[in-house]
Amino acid sequence: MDEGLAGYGELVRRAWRTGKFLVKGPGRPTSLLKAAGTLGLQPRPRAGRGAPGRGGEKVPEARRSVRGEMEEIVKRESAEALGSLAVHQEGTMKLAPFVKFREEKFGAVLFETRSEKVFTLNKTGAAVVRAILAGAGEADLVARLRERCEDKTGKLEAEALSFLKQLKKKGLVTE
Amino acid sequence: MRIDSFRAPLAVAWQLTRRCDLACVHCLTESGPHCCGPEELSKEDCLRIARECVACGIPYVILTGGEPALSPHFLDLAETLGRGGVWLKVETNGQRFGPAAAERLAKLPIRSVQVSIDGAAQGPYARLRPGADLQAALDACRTVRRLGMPLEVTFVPTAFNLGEAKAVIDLAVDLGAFRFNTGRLIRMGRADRRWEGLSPSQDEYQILYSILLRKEAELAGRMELCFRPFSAEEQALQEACEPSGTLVVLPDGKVLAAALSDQVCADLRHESLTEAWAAYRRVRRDPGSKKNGFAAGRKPAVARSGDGAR
Repeated sequence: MDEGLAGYGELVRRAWRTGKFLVKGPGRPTSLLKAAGTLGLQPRPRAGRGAPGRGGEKVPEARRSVRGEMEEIVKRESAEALGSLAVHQEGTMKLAPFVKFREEKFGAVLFETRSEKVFTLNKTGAAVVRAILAGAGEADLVARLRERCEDKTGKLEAEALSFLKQLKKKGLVTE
Repeated sequence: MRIDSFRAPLAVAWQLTRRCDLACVHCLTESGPHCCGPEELSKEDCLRIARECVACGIPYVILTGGEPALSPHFLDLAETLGRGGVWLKVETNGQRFGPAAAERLAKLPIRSVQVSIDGAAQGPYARLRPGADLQAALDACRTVRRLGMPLEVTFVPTAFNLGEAKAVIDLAVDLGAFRFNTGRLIRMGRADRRWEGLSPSQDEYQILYSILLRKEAELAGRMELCFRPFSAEEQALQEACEPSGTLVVLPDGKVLAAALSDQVCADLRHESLTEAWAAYRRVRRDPGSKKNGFAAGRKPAVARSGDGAR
């Protein structure tokens, strides 16, 4: 694995443990994504904003790939961090012990390590679990989902609550 | 299960070493005290792979052997994985699973520690595990529970110890195990070489199976009995129909395409875990993958340590 990526992973995990998601550098605090640049991973230049001498150069494929992988890590670990850092409040839910959540292109995977059972989730299912990890309770779950997902069919509420019921029935989510 | 669309393995079953303080007569990996070769992965390679497991988001790693506790990198590896949020299962014979190591493990996300107990009395236990001390294995189980880690007990049935099954199940309950694992003896390694004398008869297996069914009903809600699929053949068939997404990593870094196969699909000395995963999928590709949705999958392949039970 790229050394920079390994270092970045360490940084993310440290942030996860400590709950501090800003990195204090010599100047003002910077986000983890910006901090990646200090670890040997240059952020991808925005289109049309290339520096003189580098303008118009294509971002090398390898860098794009590393960047993509890095963003996956941030996305995944941020979701888990939210879940682990959230102070449990009455009415909120959390993943059951021994359950791991992993984002996938098609949605996500829930792995109940105790029974060694794997559950694949589509994108809506993944959004429900993300909301739970972010501290949603049953009462505000649908509202949180509506902030992020379109409800073209008008079935979002019914489907989300039905899915939540299944998650609880399978012991994947607890109050 | 749609393993072809997963970006990383679901689990890694990692045989850390061939070294073992025992040389059990039924060991399917033929591990033993002098089995640690120079080809085994270095600490640097092991830690690199562990970091890759974390970076890839692998949820679950099974550390096995040989005797994993005899690998000089065992605890460092476990800590690298565990601190990265990976759930761990440790499979041990319990002979050297002392409090110091257990206390370090207990600080990690331990899904379970599995201890092999093939007899409820020293005689039948040591007949399969020459030189082993049942008391040491029981002490290991108690240490695991005292430190709050989930305990599994594994029992390998042979012609020598089949009569011990019921007593070992009861012992596992007393020890506070949440699961008891067993299944037919697997014809591999030393078990293969001693097959005629070692393998129980069909009638004996039927008796064992009926005991398992009865105890399963009796212990429902207290301890799970895990014995399906009962044979290696059933397990291989299940794995062929529905690949588990578990990479089996050997002590030298080679990766097997399936738990009970000898087909190597990658080598982690020279390839990354991501490349190994791509190779695994190429080998195991299942064109008839299920439709996306909320579908309960099957269990990933269990680790294949020296204990030849399934």
